[in-house]
Amino acid sequence: MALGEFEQVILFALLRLEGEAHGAAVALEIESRAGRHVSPGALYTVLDRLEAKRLVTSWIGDSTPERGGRRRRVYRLLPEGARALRDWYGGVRAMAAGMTTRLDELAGQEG
Amino acid sequence: MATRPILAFLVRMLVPKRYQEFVLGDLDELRAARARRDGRTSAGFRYLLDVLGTLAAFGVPGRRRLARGGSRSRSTLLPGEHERRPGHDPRRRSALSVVLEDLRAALRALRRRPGFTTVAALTLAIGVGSAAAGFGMVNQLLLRPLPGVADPRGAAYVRFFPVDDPNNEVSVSLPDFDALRRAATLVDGIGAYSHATLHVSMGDERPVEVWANLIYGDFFEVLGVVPAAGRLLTEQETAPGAADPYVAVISERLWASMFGGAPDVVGRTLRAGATTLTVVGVAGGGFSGPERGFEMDLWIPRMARIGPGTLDRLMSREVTFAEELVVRPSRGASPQAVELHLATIWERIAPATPESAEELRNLRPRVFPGLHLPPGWRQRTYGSLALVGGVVGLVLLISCANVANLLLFRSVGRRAEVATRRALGASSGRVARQHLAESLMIAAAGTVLGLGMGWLVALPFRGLVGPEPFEGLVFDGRVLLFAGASVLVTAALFGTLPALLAGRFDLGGALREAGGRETGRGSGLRAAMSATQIALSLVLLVGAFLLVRTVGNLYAVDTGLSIERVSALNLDLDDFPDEERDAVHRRLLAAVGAVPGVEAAALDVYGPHAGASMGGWVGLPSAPDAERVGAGLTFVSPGWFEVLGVEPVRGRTFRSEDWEPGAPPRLVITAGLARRLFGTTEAVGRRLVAGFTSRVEGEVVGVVGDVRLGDPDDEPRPMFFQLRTDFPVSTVSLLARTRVPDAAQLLGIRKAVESAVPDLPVPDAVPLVDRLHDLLQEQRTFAQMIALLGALAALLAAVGLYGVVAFTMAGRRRELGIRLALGADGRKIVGLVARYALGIVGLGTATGLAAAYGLSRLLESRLFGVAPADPASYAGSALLFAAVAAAACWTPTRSAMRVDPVVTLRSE
Repeated sequence: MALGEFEQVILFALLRLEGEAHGAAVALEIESRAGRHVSPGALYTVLDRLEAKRLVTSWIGDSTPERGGRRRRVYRLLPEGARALRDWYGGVRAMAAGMTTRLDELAGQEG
Repeated sequence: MATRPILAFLVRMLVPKRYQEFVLGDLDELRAARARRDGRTSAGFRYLLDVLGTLAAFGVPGRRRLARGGSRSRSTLLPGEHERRPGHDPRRRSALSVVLEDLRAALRALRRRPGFTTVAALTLAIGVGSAAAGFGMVNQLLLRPLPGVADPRGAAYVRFFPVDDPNNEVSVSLPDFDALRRAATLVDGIGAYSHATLHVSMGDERPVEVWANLIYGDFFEVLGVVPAAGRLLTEQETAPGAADPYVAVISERLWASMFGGAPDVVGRTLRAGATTLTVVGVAGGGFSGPERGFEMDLWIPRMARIGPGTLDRLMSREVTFAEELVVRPSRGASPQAVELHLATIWERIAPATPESAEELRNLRPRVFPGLHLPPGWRQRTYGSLALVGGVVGLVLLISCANVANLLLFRSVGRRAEVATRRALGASSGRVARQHLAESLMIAAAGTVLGLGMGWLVALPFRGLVGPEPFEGLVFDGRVLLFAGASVLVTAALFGTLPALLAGRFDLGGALREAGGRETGRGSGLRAAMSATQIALSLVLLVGAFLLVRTVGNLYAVDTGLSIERVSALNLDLDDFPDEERDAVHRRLLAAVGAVPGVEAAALDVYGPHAGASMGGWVGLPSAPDAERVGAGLTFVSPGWFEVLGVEPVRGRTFRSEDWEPGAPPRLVITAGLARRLFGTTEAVGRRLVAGFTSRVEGEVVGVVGDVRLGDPDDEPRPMFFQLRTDFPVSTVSLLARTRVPDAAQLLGIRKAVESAVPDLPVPDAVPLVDRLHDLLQEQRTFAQMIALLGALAALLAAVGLYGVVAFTMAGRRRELGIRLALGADGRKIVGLVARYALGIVGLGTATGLAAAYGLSRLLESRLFGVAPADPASYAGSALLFAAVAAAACWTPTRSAMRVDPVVTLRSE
């Protein structure tokens, strides 16, 4: 199954978070790892799509005072999602094999 | 942060319900987590980004997949009509997507009726454009900050007024100013300044007239001016005894025009009369002086224009030295506190003023916070702007009524369409919302067109409203914001009414009718709106008539002078010592008199219609001082009366022997002054004591008719004339009557003067007719403005009337057809239309004239020679509009007559 770039980032974030997490945790994980700011709105539109593709599943979790008593929506990476991620990442890895030095070299060159 | 609830509200509006709880929770949680990690400010900023990102993610169509199945349709169905489609859940749609669909539907609807859309947008544009032009004036005169001044709101003007005469501004003496400045603790400085025109030149170039502030005290410190080059003048440099007072700061404008923006301007010199000024710096930030409307190009120490003799008199406290003061209150000091503070100090200082300068003793300082318009101009300018505001408001209102009417016609014409939509399931709210959306689209088009129109409308407005000419509409943020806001308000006004009427009507009845015919309901409202427009436009027409008549009257005033073919050339002779001036005067007069084509020449101080005049007093030699009479005066040469065509009514005017050195002092007085002093014009041979700066006793040799030397609408002032020998003012005006008033003649006069005083910069001679024209500029601008707006208003009202009549007659087609079929002839039909139109026009005209009568007294102070209730103006306006109305009704009447009974009745 084809995955968008942002979809992959979110799936990896879920993977890093023990396979299940709610929106804010995913947003913070992406922010601290990839240095990329993600709004909850953008997150939910993508998570909704991933759920529709049956790559993740979700349920309603508990609430905390920090959230103003509002409940979380927790997402879990499904095996189908893990497979899609693995297929895609495997492809990337195969293509990248032995190329990192050359890549750094090229990227380091002046315009 | 107060914005948080608002942002949260937006999220609730736009995010689908089933995600709201989680999104809002995540937003708060992220905010708290980031606040722990990065601090509150950064977290707050990120929160804002999060909310905006969320709104964008859910609001933008195409990403609306969350709404599930919201397929976009290309049909003309309204959003609400999806409601009854199977498998469609409207509750899942976000509000923004609904709004977008509303707007798309509105755009399609408007594109289908280009004529209606164009007329509505143009009508609105006229209204919004007029309002924007009016606002542009307020913006320029009041809202734009004074250029180059740091925090103009934090500084203040100080003016002194006699305790018993709070309208008569008085200046203070130099030692008093110094004492005030030393004692004041609640202010961060006091600066003094006055205005002067200097003729400056560089090397041998022709001198140019430049406005200058003569400054003293903490002038630049109080204003917080920053130099663009070099430095500014310090307080020490402006003080008496400064080593070199001949230093100048120039404006960026003068830097560009005289020095071509040369980087080495500092240290260059300027010639101003006999003195040479060294440029020490350029004032930055476009600084043009401390008053809006009085743009200065030069700042020099007061002391640079004061001779040693004058300084002694200044130090004696007997004469005033500076007209205007600026202060900067210390932090936290309110204007009231500063005023009280200065008044307290003043009470301590004032007794030092000698008895002889009594008028300088009983003064009270007043503080005018905020530097923009100088205090003397505020009241009057506010009045003008309020009037302009009221007038453009009327035009805006008329255009709103017009667009509302247009939308009403449409809503009637679309009854069948609306009925169909309702039958398909659109709620009345949905239908009303679409009307509102269409209004908003028209409003948006109207704004864009209106800004262009505003620029156009502002063109003839350019001219004097306050102290400075209105430059036309400048599109800055404030003007754009105003146009946008005024459109939103008007859209709400004209959009809601038709929307309400459209939303609330009988579904079955409209469907049965199907033809979209006029049913009569709402037609009363439309007629009333049209009548209101007519009434409002008549108010403006009457105002325009009154003002145009006023301008005509001002030009027709008998001033007692004949100024055609007379020109004036004003010179400042203060570079010549007092004892030389008489010789210079005679030399100048001889030179001008010898110019070919000059019939007669004379000297005056300022000359007629100069915007400046002098006042003195006269009395009988035996009478006590208390019986002195204040009177206008001027110092002239013998030919003055011949040049200006002023005839003696008793005795004679001056002769050349009166002007010989050693001749006894003689006076000529006006008939008004003679009656005032003696109760009769038989005053020849009487002796009078006259005073200006010094006292002269002389014989009255003649009485002349009354003259108006200043504004033509001022009553003639009692005046006396003295010969110009030992004259205490350095200005001299050379008046010349020429055979033909052409440019070559004016140049000839200037050349002659230049050869008579080779060291002096000489300005151009100006025809007195031009001077009068300049004096009346404000009145002319005002009349033009109101006339233009009145014409626009009448045009709009005519369009409105046309719409109502045409629409109503179209709705009565069947009735007309039956009448024609039953044998009614064209005259009957014309009568039918005319009766209907006359009802509206008559009602509108009557209301309008009555309203104009009530409002015309607001104009009273601007009228001259015409009463606010002037019957001719009212009749003229009514007739003018009647003609316009007849033109507007012409086409609807013709089409009513052309109704073909067979066709019409078959179609029913």
